[in-house]
Amino acid sequence: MDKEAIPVTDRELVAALLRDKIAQPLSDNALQELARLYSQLSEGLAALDALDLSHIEPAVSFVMSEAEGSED
Amino acid sequence: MKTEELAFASIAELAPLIQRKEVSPVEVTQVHLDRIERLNGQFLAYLTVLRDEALAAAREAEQEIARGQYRGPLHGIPIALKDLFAVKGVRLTCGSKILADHIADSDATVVTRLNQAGTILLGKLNMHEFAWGGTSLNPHYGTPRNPWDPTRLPGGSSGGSTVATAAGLAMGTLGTDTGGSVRIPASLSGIVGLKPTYGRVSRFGVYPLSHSCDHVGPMVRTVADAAVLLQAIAGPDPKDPTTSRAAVPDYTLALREDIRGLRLGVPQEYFFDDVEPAVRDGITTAVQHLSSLGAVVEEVSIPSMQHVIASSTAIIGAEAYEIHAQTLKTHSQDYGADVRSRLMLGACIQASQYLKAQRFRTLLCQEMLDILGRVDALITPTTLMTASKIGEPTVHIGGKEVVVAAHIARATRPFNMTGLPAISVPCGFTPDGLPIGLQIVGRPFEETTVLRLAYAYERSTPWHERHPADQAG
Repeated sequence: MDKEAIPVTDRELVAALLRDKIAQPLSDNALQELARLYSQLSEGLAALDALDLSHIEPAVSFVMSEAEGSED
Repeated sequence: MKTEELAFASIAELAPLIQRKEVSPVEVTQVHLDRIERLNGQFLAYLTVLRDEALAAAREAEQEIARGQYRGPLHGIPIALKDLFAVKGVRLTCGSKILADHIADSDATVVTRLNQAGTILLGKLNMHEFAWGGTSLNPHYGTPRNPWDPTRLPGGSSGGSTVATAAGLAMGTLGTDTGGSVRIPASLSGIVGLKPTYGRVSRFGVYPLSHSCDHVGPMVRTVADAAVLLQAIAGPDPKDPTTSRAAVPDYTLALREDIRGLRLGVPQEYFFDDVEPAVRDGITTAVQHLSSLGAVVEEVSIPSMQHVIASSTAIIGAEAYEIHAQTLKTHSQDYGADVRSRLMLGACIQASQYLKAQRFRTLLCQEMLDILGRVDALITPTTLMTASKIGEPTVHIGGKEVVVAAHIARATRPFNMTGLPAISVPCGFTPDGLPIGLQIVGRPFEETTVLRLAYAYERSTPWHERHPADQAG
């Protein structure tokens, strides 16, 4: 793999992730701000590692099932 | 009834008068259309006004009632819809430039149900673009104005819905709530907003933002009116597989039940972080009041709350991006800057991050259901702040600078993650005259408990009797 193609910062990662996903390229300022938001979000999600979530099923088909027993 | 009394009457007050033919649906509709014509230029609540259609429907309702074919408490009642609900043949903009000329080709299920109940549709309401924001700042159609102070935000994303309801431009409205978009504007503009349980109300024909967090709910001036509107729209829908088959109770009947002995939990973490002092005081007083009515109040702890914002941002962001991916690819420049930025952030979220957030969601649901096994409802502020000035992206609370767009949804988002029913009911005003909202959260499908508590609170306090003055005279 070409080492230069591996993103090394959130700014580069965001630019790479957005490639071909938006109609117009971002300005430097917009890219910088988006990278800041992405860093903040990634940090927040990384904090979830402090919880042991490995045994918990992801709620990917989220439904409320608590009252389904009382069908009419 | 005088004109102003008609404009600010509750649905529950007006319905018997319409049934007894003491008030005509045409008269009520005309009063609202006249007010919209006079005040909408200032409040920017409506994007589309259906004047001729509304008057025709009102005449039809009048004739039906005259023939003895009264349908129920919504017959002849003028309402309006956030411009996210499809109404056949009517423009459906979603508050966007992208869909500015889009005409819906069918009705949303809730629109069909409201039609069957006999409501009169006045028009479609302004909103945060594609419902992706809590302020209703809208670069395409202008920002709807808070009726209590038009220099301030009404809250969002259902901003036009709350403005129309609070300012007497509709008797009730529907909004959608993905991170708080019914409850936030209800709180900031001093009305009642109910987010039912996920699955209680069909979302078919409602433009989606996040499939697993979107909810539809009524925005009205009294709790009894929330019960009436919910009754009309609740229940299973074959067109929306996420709707529940759980029985729909009589919500209005439930209002009459006593709240003595109900157990209320007040969470100690998260919901009072960086809270405006006037909001904290308002909630504290409201909790004391509920206690004086016979509810039993205790402090509770929800350990994982600090992870809610990142997790819900990942879930809503990824799901919203999936919906907008094609349009973003071809028309990214046509979105407003804030919505475009949120969609691009969603585009960057990776599958592993999304799934991690969904695992956390399961844990959060478990924690909340555990607590709701011990108490009947949770009590929190709806918003930790009151309405901020339009154009001020940050405010200072207790010496700390907070970002309005994020802080405004802090207390509401957890209940989109968990799908629990939650209502915002007015619980006071700041010294500057800005409304404060109390949030009551119940167990899944127990809207009856939420409504019952809110009703008992509302009926024993004066806040619902206040209405904003017509700024234009």
